[in-house]
Amino acid sequence: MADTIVDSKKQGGLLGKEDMKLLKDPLHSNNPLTIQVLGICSALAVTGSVSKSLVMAVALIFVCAASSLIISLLRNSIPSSIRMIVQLLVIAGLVQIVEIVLGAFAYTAYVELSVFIGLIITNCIVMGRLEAFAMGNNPKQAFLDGIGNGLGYGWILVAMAVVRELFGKGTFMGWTILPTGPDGWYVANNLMVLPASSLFVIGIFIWIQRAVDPELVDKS
Amino acid sequence: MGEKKEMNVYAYVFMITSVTALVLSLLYTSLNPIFEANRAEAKKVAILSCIPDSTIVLEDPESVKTAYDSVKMIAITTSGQIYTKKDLDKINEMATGGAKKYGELAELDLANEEKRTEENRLYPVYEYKASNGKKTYVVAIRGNGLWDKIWGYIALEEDLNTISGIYFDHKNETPGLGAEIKDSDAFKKQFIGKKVFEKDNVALTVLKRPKKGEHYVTGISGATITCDGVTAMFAKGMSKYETYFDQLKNKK
Repeated sequence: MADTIVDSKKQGGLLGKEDMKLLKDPLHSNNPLTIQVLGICSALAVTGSVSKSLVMAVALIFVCAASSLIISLLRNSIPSSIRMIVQLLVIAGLVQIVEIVLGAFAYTAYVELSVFIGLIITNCIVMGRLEAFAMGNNPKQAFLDGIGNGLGYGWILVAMAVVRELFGKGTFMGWTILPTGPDGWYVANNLMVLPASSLFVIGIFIWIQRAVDPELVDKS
Repeated sequence: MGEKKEMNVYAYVFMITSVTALVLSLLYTSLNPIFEANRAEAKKVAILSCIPDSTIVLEDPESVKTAYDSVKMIAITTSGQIYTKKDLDKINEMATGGAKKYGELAELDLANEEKRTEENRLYPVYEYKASNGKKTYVVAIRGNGLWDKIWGYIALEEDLNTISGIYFDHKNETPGLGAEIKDSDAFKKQFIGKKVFEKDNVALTVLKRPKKGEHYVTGISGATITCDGVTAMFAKGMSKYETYFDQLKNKK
């Protein structure tokens, strides 16, 4: 019996087993940041504060999911010679939408993130998923894959930010946890505030992840 | 299996770019007014945040509006000429060098004024009168940080010399270092009570090593160039207001 390939329709309900795999894999076993090692650049820049990372994560989930959906819908009609240009156009257009919407409805977040919203266009995860998945799969699965990868990126981003903000400034989302300043006992670790610290924080995350799940270690 | 029929590349490009352009321009025209309103609001909050009046509440747009109603804004030139809201047309006539024209006086922005020639350049003065009659004057200064522009609003007491409040912002300074001029409350607090002018010169300096004195403020570790930029910003920016301040003092 062809049990291994489960047709999502036979499962009933909205999301079949295969579909759930698309959502769950990028959270751990195929995480875009720690396993595929894509999109590290923005992880350096915004993880200094939790609130910035949350906004960035939401923005990326939207761009990744929407672009995957759109490109999947268009995949059979895009002339092959301009394939990547069309992908870029879709990504850039969506990022513009995010910028305009943030500027109008979440102005403080817009000011905080400033250039980094525009840099989502250059985030390898988005283009990577379009090429690797959306171009060859149906819209529903591409959409779920986009959300899954966005979530995988988002949770690592926020986790890094919690570490960097706590040890770099002694706060969490602006609230003081470790008191710094003249009356506090905690001497803020200034290295954690600088982007370079994200490199080894993410290295430590990759280490922990592979220690917890040895299956993920490269066998080569 | 037949060959996949591809649409003509140029037709496709035309189609997809038209659709994208249409969607983006529709969104932009409908949301841009809200965005501009947000920017204007943020500017008002920045100015009001300098004013040392504990009755000012900046929680919601309503209270910001009420507080800002007590602010009287004028524009001055280095030669001491004063322009008010009523002189908007004259102000726009002076917009040389490709500087943008203003829809109202509140839009006056130093970044735009930089494009004008010095004789035509305007500097804002925001006069706030508290309920107990005490006046605060907020002025705007602009200069260069390490990577790009920095700017600030300085609130002065009625002697037009003692700083009573301060707000700094920057385009692209390093987070944790140069950006601390905006984020560090400890840094900004130092300015309160310090005096800007010594006789006729701007004397306020941000120093590397702490030094006692009414003109000295200690800088931020690792942000020397940004702090030097702040000193230079004060020297250049505050000197523009000297003629106007002398006029005000003589009137009293």
